[in-house]
Amino acid sequence: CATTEEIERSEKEYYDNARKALKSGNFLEATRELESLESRYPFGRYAEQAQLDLIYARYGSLDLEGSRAAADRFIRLHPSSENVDYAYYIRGIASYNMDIGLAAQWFPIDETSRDPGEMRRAFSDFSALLQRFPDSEYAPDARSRMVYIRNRLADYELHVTKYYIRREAYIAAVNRAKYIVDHFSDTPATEQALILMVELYQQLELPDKADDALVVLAANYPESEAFDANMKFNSNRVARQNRGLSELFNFSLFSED
Amino acid sequence: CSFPGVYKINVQQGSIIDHETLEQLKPGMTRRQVHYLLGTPSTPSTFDHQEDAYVYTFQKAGGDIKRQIITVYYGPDDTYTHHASALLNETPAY
Amino acid sequence: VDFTVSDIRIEGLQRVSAGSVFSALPVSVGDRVDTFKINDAMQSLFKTGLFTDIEMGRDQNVLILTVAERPSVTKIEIEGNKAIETDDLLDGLTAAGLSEGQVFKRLTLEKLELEILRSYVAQGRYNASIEASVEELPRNRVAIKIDIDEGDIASILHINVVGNEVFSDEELTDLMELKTPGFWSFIFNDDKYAKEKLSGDLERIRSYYLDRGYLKFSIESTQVSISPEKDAVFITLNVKEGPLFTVKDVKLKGDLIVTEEELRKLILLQPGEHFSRVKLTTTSDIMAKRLGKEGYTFANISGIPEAHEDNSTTVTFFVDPGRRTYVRRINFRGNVGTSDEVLRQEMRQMEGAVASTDLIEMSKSRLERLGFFKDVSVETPAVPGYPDLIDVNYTVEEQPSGSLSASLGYSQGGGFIIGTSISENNFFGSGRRVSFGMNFSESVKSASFSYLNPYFTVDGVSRGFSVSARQTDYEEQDISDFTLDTLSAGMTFGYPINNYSRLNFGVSANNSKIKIGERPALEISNFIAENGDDFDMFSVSGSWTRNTLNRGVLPTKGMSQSLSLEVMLPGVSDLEFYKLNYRNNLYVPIDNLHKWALHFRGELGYGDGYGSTDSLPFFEHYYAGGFGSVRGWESSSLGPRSTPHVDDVGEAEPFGGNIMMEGTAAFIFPMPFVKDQRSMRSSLFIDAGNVFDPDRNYDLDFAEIRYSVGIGFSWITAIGPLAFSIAKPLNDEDGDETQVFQFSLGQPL
Repeated sequence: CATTEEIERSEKEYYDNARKALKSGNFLEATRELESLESRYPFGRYAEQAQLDLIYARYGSLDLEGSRAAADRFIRLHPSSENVDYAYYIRGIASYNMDIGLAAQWFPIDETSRDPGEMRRAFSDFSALLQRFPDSEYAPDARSRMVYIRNRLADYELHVTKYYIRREAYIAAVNRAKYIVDHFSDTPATEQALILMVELYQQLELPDKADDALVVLAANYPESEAFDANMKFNSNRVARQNRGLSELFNFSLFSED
Repeated sequence: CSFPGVYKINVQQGSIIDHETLEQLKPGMTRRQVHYLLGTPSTPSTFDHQEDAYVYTFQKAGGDIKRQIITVYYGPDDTYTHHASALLNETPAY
Repeated sequence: VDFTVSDIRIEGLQRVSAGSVFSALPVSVGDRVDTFKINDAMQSLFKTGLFTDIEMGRDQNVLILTVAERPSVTKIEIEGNKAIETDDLLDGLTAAGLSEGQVFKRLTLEKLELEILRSYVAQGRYNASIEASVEELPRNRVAIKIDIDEGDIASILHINVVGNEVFSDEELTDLMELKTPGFWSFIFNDDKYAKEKLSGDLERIRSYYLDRGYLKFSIESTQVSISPEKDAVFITLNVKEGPLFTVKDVKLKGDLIVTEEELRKLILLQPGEHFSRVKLTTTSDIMAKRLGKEGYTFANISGIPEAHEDNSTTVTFFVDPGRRTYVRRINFRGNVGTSDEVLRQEMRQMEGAVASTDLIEMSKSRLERLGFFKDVSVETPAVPGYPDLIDVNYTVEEQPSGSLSASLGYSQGGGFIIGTSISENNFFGSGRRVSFGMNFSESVKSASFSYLNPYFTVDGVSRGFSVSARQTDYEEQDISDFTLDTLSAGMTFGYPINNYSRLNFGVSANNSKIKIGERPALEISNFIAENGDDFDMFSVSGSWTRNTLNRGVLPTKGMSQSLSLEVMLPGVSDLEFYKLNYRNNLYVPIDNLHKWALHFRGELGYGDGYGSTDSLPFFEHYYAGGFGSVRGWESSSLGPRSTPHVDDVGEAEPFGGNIMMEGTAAFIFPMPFVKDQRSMRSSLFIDAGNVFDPDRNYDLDFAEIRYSVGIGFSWITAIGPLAFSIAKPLNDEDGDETQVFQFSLGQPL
């Protein structure tokens, strides 16, 4: 078949087609139009707006990688544009959703014990947004997603702490619990981390450190379940498990974690 | 030999410090110098101006855990004053 | 000229935005301007490289700029390149600032022609030529066309070595990758000259000498001369061998950490032997590994040979242990679908413990042995600010770890499988092995559920349950005319007895019912007459397994063995028999990248009755032939035949036997033209095997073993392993049911 030279359309035609496709939700079409506009008229009048629309078009067509790259480019080329906060936001959202496993969306698997993957990058993208545009319309949603990511990272540490308790590697366990208290003290995992730290320091026969942790626990979580009625600490989560073969005949369904 | 039981790995934790190294501690050493000599404390303390705890534990094939604790005390100006320790006769690495 | 600029007007702009011109212009409205400032403005505009011509005009106080934009490139065409991919060339162009949409500068084009030429020369194509043409297009745009005549690689006419007495020219040139044209050159084109290959060859020759005692060996000079027509190359190497050195003494210096006596045992170089560099470097590595076990991961051991006049050498190993290092944190990246505990429970290296190179490496191969990851890599970065701490970071790339043979599967044994069977070794990333299957095919209707937790306790004591109901119509598999219904429920547990071997035990209760067709084989009706057709049995099984494979799926190194015994408990079982099985898979890599490898498989099975049952019941018989057994023959078609029913006119059907022997020798080779081979495998194989039944005087007779040779291919796809093979039976006899092409989808490998 004869390959005719692609008819040279004016910049405006590309742009209008793209806008029409975006409105009708045909993101693939919009992406194609915007990309050809870019290569034909790199410095044209519509260049900036086209690059902004490209971010959304690619995101719409689930090309998260491409959308993030388009956002990166927009931020680099038009740092002072009044829409640049949108670019920061979508860059974060693209990273946020990039590693959500297929199974995780439908089956109740515990996400927090898996590698958060690109969510770590989402965290720094969102914090860049909040630093530059604290009152952008996207700030509240970005902030709430950052909180979710931090809580998830803290829960991940808690999983590891519990594994090392099961493994009876108590120094590894107490340092992981301490990591939560040092880096994620604003997350709900901190209470459990402190309780485990008290028990682990007692197990390691380091009474002073156990008391320090106990003081912090009592101060921040007076109503924690680790305290009985008269505020005496009794929690027994670090007891050594039976690792012999007899354990095989323990059929209590919830024997595992 | 007896019927083979469950194979359990040895679990080593913490800092290996022997008598000769401890001898080199001299009063007046700064905390950094102590950490350079003995290594980074295996259970770092959350608050500074606290004493450093160098804990070492060894569990052989899932059995009881042997423990060695060396506590290094610092004076008000955060320099080494003395240490308390009950050393195990051997501290294997694996 | 001297005036205040009231306004600036730009003419001649086509593609460049006014904004970019203003931002590059040092002059703005309201400035006082003189000739000097005007020139300065012209300079900076030129520097942007966007314009071929700039004129400054003046209309009263309005500054008028007429610019002629440089054309921008709309299309780049490259032809005639084979040795270097077009994309690589385009990348080179973009790096030099010349790509579609960019501004066109003639200077960069000329620079580029040189660049491409140089990369061809590096490949030994001295007579390559490049010709770039520029085609003007309307609206100030250009199209660039680059014609490349790669010419051919200069081939090596002669390699000459001067100054060698101890080893002949032939011995040395054999070592080299570069060869003079030989029979195989048209495939391997090893006679083509390339600079990197030459330096590699020089290194090989040097190690050859140094490893054989020539401590003072040196390559004085190398000449590479090119023939006038630039299509042939002459290589000359001048070497100076120096004397042969023997080891006089071996010393150990520095802080040895372990006893000198223990380190001395690791030294490969003994006094009296010839010096050898490879032994020297290997000794240093072994010593470093030994110190690594004690936590000195950054130990540095260097062996320095000191030459004496009497052609002897004293080798001193300087041991610098560095600091004892500890592991702060072990991090996993890439396990987006697999939970952290599934990886961490394979770790032999603990956090907060002495860092041991052995344990870190063993943990990596344990992760690979899981079979959940296509790739596992580990790095141990130092922790900034803490000279004695390192982190251990494992990066994994997940791969489908089960098989979801939904709706349509096909195996030649069972015909079309309709229904679904999900078996997942990493059930939702929890590391639990769960399989749930409902299969309906012409010959097999089954429903089964099994669950196994490999880490019921932290040490790896495993516990599992399974229940299954299955109806097999052997007539459909054109074996003999009966159907077998089995129900079974069982519990298994196992535990490690060392780092590589496990003991596993199981108890199960099962019921088997036989329904015979109208014309069953004689043996079947005799069996039923004797034993009835409904059996309850309680079995106890035990097995020993040992696995040192380097990868869980498609391994290339190591061995996996299993020896298992299943016995029906006497007294409580209607039939009393036992089955003993042994299986061995050995993988031997050939090259160090494990692209080529050998695979040997051996399987033996023996079953017999005891007590009240005199032989292995026929429905427990072993069968051979078909995919995963002896390819080239139809599934389960080998071995003894049943005696057909008196009025059954068809020929005798396969009946299996109580002794089974099978083996495979395969040569694994990398698929040509395929880049990412990690989830596929191609191999040339020889299969052998058969089943025997001495009670029916099909005695164990090696002459009866059937052989076939063929090529096999397997691929781990998202819905499970896909495998097929083309096999040619070598010693099939009449009556054998052969089958050249066989495949299976969704059956675990």
